[in-house]
Amino acid sequence: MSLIIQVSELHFSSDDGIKVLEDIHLRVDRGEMLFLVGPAAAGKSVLLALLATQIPPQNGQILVHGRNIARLSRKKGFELRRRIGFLPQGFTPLSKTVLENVIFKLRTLGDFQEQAEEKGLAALEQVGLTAKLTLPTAELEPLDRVRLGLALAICNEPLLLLLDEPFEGLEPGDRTTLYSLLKQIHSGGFTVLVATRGPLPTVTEPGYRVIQLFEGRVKEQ
Amino acid sequence: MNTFLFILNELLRAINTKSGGLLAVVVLLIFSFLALFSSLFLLGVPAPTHGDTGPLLASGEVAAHLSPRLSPEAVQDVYLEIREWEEVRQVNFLFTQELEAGRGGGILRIQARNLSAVASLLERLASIPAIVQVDSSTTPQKRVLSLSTPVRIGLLIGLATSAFASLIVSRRGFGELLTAFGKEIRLMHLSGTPERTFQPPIVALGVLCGLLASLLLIVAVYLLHFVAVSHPEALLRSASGLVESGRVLALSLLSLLLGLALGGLIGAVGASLTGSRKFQPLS
Repeated sequence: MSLIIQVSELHFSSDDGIKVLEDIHLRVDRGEMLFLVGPAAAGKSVLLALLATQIPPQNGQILVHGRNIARLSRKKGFELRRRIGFLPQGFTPLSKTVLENVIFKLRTLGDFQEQAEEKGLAALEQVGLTAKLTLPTAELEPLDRVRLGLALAICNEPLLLLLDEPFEGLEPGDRTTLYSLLKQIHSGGFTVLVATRGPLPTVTEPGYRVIQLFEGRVKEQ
Repeated sequence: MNTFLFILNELLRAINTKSGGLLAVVVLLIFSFLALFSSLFLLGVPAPTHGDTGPLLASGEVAAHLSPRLSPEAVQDVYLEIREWEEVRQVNFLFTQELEAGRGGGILRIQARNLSAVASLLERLASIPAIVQVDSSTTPQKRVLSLSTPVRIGLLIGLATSAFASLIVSRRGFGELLTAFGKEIRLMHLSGTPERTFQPPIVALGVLCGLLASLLLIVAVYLLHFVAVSHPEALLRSASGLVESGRVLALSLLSLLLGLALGGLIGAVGASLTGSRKFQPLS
C-alpha cells in the first residue's frame, strides 16, 4: 500500500506558547481507516487541521500525497486542500436546503450546475440523504447534519477524508449508524482518518487502526 | 452561469435589511462625491458672455442681433452672405422671441472656424448696417468666474469628506454583508476555493454601487441640461457649463469612470475583509 500521510517530528504550540503537539510521528497508508482517539485538548483537532492544510505547520514535516505542506505555494496549497475532504468539529451547514449546500460547494469549486447536481446527488445518496434533498438544513436531525457534512466532504471525490469529532452530540444508536456509514464510505475506496474522544462503537473489528493521543503526544498505536 | 456570477448571485441573496441599508447609503455617498465633482466642472467655468436678452454663447461663438425692421428677405440675404465667409463654420438663426417674449428682430448665432477668426469676424459683422449689436464669448472683459476660491475649497473638502465617508460606511456595510455570508466564506476556505475566486464578486458588488451612483448622476445632469437648454431664461448664470457643447457628455463619461473606480476601491476594501480571522473555518 502506498503512503498517503507521513508525519515526522511534528511540534505545534498555540499563540500563547502552550505546547499542543509534541514529537508526533504518524504514517497512514492509502485506503486505511484510522481512529485518532484522545480526551479534549489532546491535540486531535490541531493535528487534523494541520493535515488538512487549514493551519500552517511550525516545526516538523508533514507529507500529504507526497507533498511537504510546509513548502507548498499558496496555489498548490489550495489544490491539495481540494483533494482532502474535511469535516470540522461542530460543523454547521449553510442556511439552504440539503442539496443546495452540496451544490454550493461544487459550484464554487468550478463545476457547472448540471455537473454539480449530478455529483451532489451521488454524494447525498452515498450518505443516505436522498429523501431529504429539499429539506432546509435547520430542520435536520443531528445525525442527518453529520451525514450532510460527510456528503460535503466526499462530493468532490477527495483521496483523503478527515473527520473531526463526527460522533459528538449523537445518541448511542446514531453513533452506531454513523460508524456503519463510515465503514461503508471507507469500503468505497476512501482513506479515512477520524478524530474522536471515543468510545468507539465496534472499534475492535480488524482492519482499522486506533491511535491514542494524550496531551499532545502519541500514547499508543 | 459561471462561478463568478454564481457567487455574485449568492452574495446578492445574502443582502439583508442592515447591509442593504448601509450599501444604499454608500451609493448616495458616491453620488454626493460625483455631484460635488461635477459641480467643479459645471459651475467652475468662465460663464459665456451674453447680453441681457441674448443667447448663451460657447467659446468661439458670436451673436449678431439683427434690426427688427428687416424684412424676411433681407434677413435671408444677410444670413446667406455671412454663411459664405471663410471665418465662419456655421450660422443659425434664432428668433429673439425664443429668448424674450415681445421683442422683435432676430439673432444670427455664428460659430467661428477657430478662435483666432473671432476678432476679424466681429469687425466684419460690425460693418453690416442690418446688424445692431454683436456679442462674443471671447471678449475678455466680459468673462466672469462663477466660483470663488472659498467655494472651490469647500467643494474640494466636500469631495474628500464624501470619498472618505463612503469608504468608512462601505467597510461597515460589507462587514455586515460578509457576516451574513460568513458560513459560505468559511465553507469556501475549507474546501480549497482560492480567494481569487470569491473576492472578485465582492469587488464587483462595489463596482455595481459605483455604477448605480454614476447612472443616478448622469440622469440628474441630463435632466438639468434639458431644463437649461429648453428654458435658458431659467438657467442659473453660474451653471453655464450645462449648455456648453460636449461638456455634459464628457462629464457623464468622466463621472462614470470615477464612479466605477470609487466603487472598485470600495469593493476591494470589502474583499479584503474575507481574509480576517472570523472568516477562517477553524477560527
